[in-house]
Amino acid sequence: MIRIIAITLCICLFAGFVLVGKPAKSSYMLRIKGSDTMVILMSALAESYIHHRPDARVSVTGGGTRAGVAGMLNGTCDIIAASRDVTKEELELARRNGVTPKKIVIARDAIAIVVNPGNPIESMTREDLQKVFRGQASNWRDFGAAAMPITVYSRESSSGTFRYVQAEVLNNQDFSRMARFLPSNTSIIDSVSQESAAIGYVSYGHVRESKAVKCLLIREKIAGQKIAPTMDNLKSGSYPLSRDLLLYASDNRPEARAFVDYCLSDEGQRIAEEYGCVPVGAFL
Amino acid sequence: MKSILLDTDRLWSMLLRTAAAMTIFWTALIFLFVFREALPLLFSPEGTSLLSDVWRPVSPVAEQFGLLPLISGTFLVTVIATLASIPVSILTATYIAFIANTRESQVLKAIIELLASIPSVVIGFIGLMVLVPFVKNVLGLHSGLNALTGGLILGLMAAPTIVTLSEDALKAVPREFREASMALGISEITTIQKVLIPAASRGILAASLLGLGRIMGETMAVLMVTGNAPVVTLSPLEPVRTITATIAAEMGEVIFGGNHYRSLFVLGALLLSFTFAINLAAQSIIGGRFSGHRS
Repeated sequence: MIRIIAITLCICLFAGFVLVGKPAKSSYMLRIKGSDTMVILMSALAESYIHHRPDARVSVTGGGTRAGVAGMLNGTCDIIAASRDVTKEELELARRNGVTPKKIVIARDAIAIVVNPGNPIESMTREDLQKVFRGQASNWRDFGAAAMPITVYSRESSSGTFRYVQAEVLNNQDFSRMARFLPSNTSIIDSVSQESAAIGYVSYGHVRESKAVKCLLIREKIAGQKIAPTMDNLKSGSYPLSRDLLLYASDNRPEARAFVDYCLSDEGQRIAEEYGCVPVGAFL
Repeated sequence: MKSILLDTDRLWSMLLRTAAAMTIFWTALIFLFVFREALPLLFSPEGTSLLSDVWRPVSPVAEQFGLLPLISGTFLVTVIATLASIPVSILTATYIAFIANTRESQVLKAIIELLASIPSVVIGFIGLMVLVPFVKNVLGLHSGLNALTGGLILGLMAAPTIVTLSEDALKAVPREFREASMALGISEITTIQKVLIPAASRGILAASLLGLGRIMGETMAVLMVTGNAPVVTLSPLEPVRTITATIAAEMGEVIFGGNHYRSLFVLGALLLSFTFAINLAAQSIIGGRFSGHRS
């Protein structure tokens, strides 16, 4: 009896592998992997892409830019979604593994500095922000608000956004030792929306229509001009905290190139704008 | 003479033996792999930074892999979770084992098992949405993401383990203990307090230790609610970063073979040693249970 069950199980398992492993006729699989910030955007692009190309199947996974690089090295990823440049060492590794990923800018994303809506402060200079995130200024009193110790929120060090803020806002210095590290844009928005003394940074696409948090305006130190993270200011390039969103397509896959072209098409760019990113034509 | 392949009994016993041996084999391989990846950092010049009190693995200034804040964070959260969980769990187990009627104990056990089956990310999410604002408002803090919240969540997650195993230990106390005590005219509560719980104490201790192991190894829920700031502190109201949360948050993006990668394996080896020691202690206590309460 047991033997019969065991044999049946084996047959079922084997059949399962065959069915899963067998590619459907004349269709192909495109695997996109990388930045967490880009997952929502890439999913939207992939979804509309397969309407045009019924033979294409596209999978989108997050895990961080580095996960996409590792995936390409291991042959489990055709397009890396990257919110930072892939490093020279990483490219060199890829080359040794027989792939030369080609870099394409598909949109630009802004970093919004967010505080609680109850916080009276409307704008800060980049110098102020550097002090706050480095922990040199630790009380809201220093910026003209009621006395309250500042709670600093940051993304984890695996995030491309973390690297960007460290380089551009902190001027390549370390974050405050009291900074609290959260795993996603959403968890930072949640915390900042609940805590009156909190400050954090997130991808603009995640907060553009949100009332839960307040985006700070960036004040220029000399002219005193205050710039809000709005689509217009992003397009004109006057909002200072923004970075390119990139795709690195494997040169071994012509299908990958076709998908990238679709992202750059009018329709792809319109989708990017819907998700709070600046289309390529507006800044390149 | 029959061939081995036709001798079903021998075939099955070989199969079972192989399966049992595999668990040892895999455990040994895991230890080997974790320590192999960790060791090079211990013997490299950068290894000295493991002893510092700064965990700053990604830094344009100076990378530092101080383990102290992560160990103290894990320790603090574990102590809070233990304090929150063990007394309530043991009382619950006592109620189920001795006082509840059959129907009550069935319902209670079903619910406790249900609690054990909730995925930790779901518990973490509930913690983030419910417990974090609650702790913040009740204690009048600026943020509810701290060691206390993490400890409370973990206490909740360890409770099923401790309740179920303690209840087994209490049920295993021979009936005669209870009957003899009652026959002497001692009240039920006093019997439980003075006779039954002491008789099951080894089992309860083992249950608590296994719960402790569960607390230490838990990752997702703790990553979501402790605030993850790598500071050395013994205050439950400060944010802390645990070993597990660090590994989970940072492993995704490290460069393989780099110092950061190795430091995460050092953390893994450390955690593995802690939980292994705890489990070993629990096993040795369980092993000696029956000799214990008769002496």
